[in-house]
Amino acid sequence: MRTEPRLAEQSDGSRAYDRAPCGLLTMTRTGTILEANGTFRKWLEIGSGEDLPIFLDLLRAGDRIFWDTHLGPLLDMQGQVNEVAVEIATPSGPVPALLNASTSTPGDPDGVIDIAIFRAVDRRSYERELLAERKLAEEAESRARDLAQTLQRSLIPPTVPSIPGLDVSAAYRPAGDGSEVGGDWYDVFQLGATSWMVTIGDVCGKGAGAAAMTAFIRYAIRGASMETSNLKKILRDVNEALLLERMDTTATVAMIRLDLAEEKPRVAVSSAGHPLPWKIDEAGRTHKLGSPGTLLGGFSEINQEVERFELEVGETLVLITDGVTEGRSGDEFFGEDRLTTYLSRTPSLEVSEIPERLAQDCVAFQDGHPRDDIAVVALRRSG
Amino acid sequence: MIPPSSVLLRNNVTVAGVPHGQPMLFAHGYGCDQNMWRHVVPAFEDTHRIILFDHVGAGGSDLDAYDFEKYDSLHGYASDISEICRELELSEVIFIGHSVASMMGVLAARQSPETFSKLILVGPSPRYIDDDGYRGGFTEDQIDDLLVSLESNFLGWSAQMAPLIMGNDDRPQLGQELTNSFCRTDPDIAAHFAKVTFKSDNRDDLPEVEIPTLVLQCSDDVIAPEFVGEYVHRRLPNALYRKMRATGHCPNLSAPEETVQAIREFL
Repeated sequence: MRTEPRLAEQSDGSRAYDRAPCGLLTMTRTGTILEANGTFRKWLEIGSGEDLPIFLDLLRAGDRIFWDTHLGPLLDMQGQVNEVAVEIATPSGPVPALLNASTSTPGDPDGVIDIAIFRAVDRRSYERELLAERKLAEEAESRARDLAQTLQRSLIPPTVPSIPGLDVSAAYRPAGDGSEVGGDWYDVFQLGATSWMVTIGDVCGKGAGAAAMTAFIRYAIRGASMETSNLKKILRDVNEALLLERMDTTATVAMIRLDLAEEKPRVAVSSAGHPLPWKIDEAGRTHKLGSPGTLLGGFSEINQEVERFELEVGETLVLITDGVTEGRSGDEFFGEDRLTTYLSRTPSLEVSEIPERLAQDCVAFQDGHPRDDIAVVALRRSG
Repeated sequence: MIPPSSVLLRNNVTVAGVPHGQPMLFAHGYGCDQNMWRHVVPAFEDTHRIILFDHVGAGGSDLDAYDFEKYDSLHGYASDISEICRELELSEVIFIGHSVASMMGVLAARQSPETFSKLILVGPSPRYIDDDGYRGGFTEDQIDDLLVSLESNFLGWSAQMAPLIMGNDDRPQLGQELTNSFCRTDPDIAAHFAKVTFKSDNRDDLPEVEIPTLVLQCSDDVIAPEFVGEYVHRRLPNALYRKMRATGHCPNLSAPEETVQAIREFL
C-alpha cells in the first residue's frame, strides 16, 4: 500500500519560502534587504535575527555598474529581468549565480524588488569556456580573413599603371564578406616601347586552389606575351601550360592588346570563354567586342578569334567579369540590360569613376553581399 | 559626406512637442536608449520642441554606422549631437544629458557654443576612474570588471537578439522588441562604449563651457557620487548645483517628477 508523500507539519508556504533551493529576497530600489529566506542567509552565514547587508554591495563592481546602467532601468521599464549573470560575495568566496528580479510597481521609487538567486557554478563556468572558445574562433576567423585579403591583394595590381595617351581605371570587389579568396583578377602591363596588354579573367572556384591557379595563369599570360604578340598564340600557350600542369580547373580570359605607335591606338581583342569586353562610343552606343572562344584548361584544342580596330577619341573600352552580370537580387540577375544601360551613360563619366560606380551599383543591387567576385577595368583615349 | 536625412535615421531621431517652441534636446546615457526620458518628456511637450535620439550603437540607431574609430572618444558622439542640431536647424538649444551624455553635451557646447543656450547635466562625471588628487569613484580594475559582466550578460545577443532588432520592416512585436532592445545592443559595441565611457577624462573641458548649466545630483549614486557632482559644479564657470532626494543613477526613471521640477525651476 502506498501513502502519499506529505509534509511533516502544516505549512502556510513560509516553509517553502524559507527552505526553497534558491536564495529569495525582497529589497528596496537602493538595495536594502527587507526580507530574505533561510537559503540566502545560509549562503551569507547570517543568522535569522541578524542584519543583512545592502544587496547591491554583495555584487562585484562590474555587476554593480551593470545593475545601475542596465538592470535598474530595465526593471523600471518592464518590471522584470531574467537570467542575469552575477557573482554574489559570500564569506566562502564569490558564488557565480543567475538572478531573476521583478517588481509589481515598475518606476515607483518606493516600490520593492523581489529577487530569486540560483547558484550556477557549473553552468557559468561552462559559459565562460564557451565564451573563451568563441573568442578563439573569432580570432582564427579574422586571421583567415586577413590571409585571404593579403593573398587577394597579391593577385591584383596595387595601382593600375598609367599608359601614355590613355586613361585607365579598375575596381575589384570580393564575394560575400571577403573572407575567401576569389578567382577573379585583372592585369595591366607593358609589352614593349609602345604596346600594352590589359587582361581580365576568372578562375573556376574559390579559396587557396583558385588563388594558386590565378597567380599561375596571370604570370603564364605575362610570360607568353613576352614571346609573341599574337593573342591566339598567347592563349594557346597558356592553355597548354595549364593542361601540362594538370591544374584540374578551368579559367576564362579576355585580353586587349594596345599598340600606341601610330596616332590612333590600334586595338586587338580576344577572349577565351570570358564575358566579352565592351566598346562605348562618344554617343553612348555600346558594342560587344570579339567572339566568346573556348575557355582555358579544359580542352587540348581551343578556338579563338581576334577583333582589330582603331580607338577613336572619346571611345571607352570596358572589361568585366561575370560577377557583374550574374549578380543576383532574389530571382533577378543584374543582367546585360542593366549593364548596357549603365555603359551607355559612361561617356559623361570620368574613366576613374566608371569601374568603381559599376562595382558599387552591382554590390548595392545584391544588398551589399555580392555572390561572386566583381572585377571591372575601363580605358579611354584621353583628350 | 552623409546625405541629410541619414543623420536623423542614423541616430533614430524623434521630434515632438511644439514645432516652433524652444528646442529641448534629450540625450540618453550609457546602457539604454531614448526611452530613458519617457517619464520626463511629457512635462515639456506643451511648451517646447522635443528632440530625442539614440546614440549610434544604442536602441534603434543604425548599428552599421558604428565606427569603432569615430566612437573611440566622446567627441564622436558630440559631433553627432552637433550634426543633429544642424540638420534640424536648431538654435537656443536646451541640452539635457544623462550620465555620460552630460560630457557629450559639454563637448558639443565647446564645439558649437552658439547652438546651445543651457545645459542640464543629470548625474555627470568627467572622469570615473580615480586619479592623483581626484576621486572618480572607481578603480581601473573595477571598470575592467564591468567588461566581464557585460560579456556574461550579452550571451544571447548574436543568436537571438540581432534578427529581432535588425529587422526594420513589419514590426508586429513592437512592444516586445522595445523591451528587449531597450538595454541591449551588439556585445562588441556595448563593450567598446563601456570602455570609452568609463575611461574618458573630460575634466579640462569643464572650465571652457560658459553656458548656464545645471548639475543635477542624485543621492546615493554609485556611478556618479556626490563628490563628483560637486567637482563638476566647481569647475564649470557658470553652473548651479542641485542635489535631489532621488536615489540611484537614473532619476529620469526613478523620480521623474522631481527631475521635471528641477529642470523647470532652472529654465
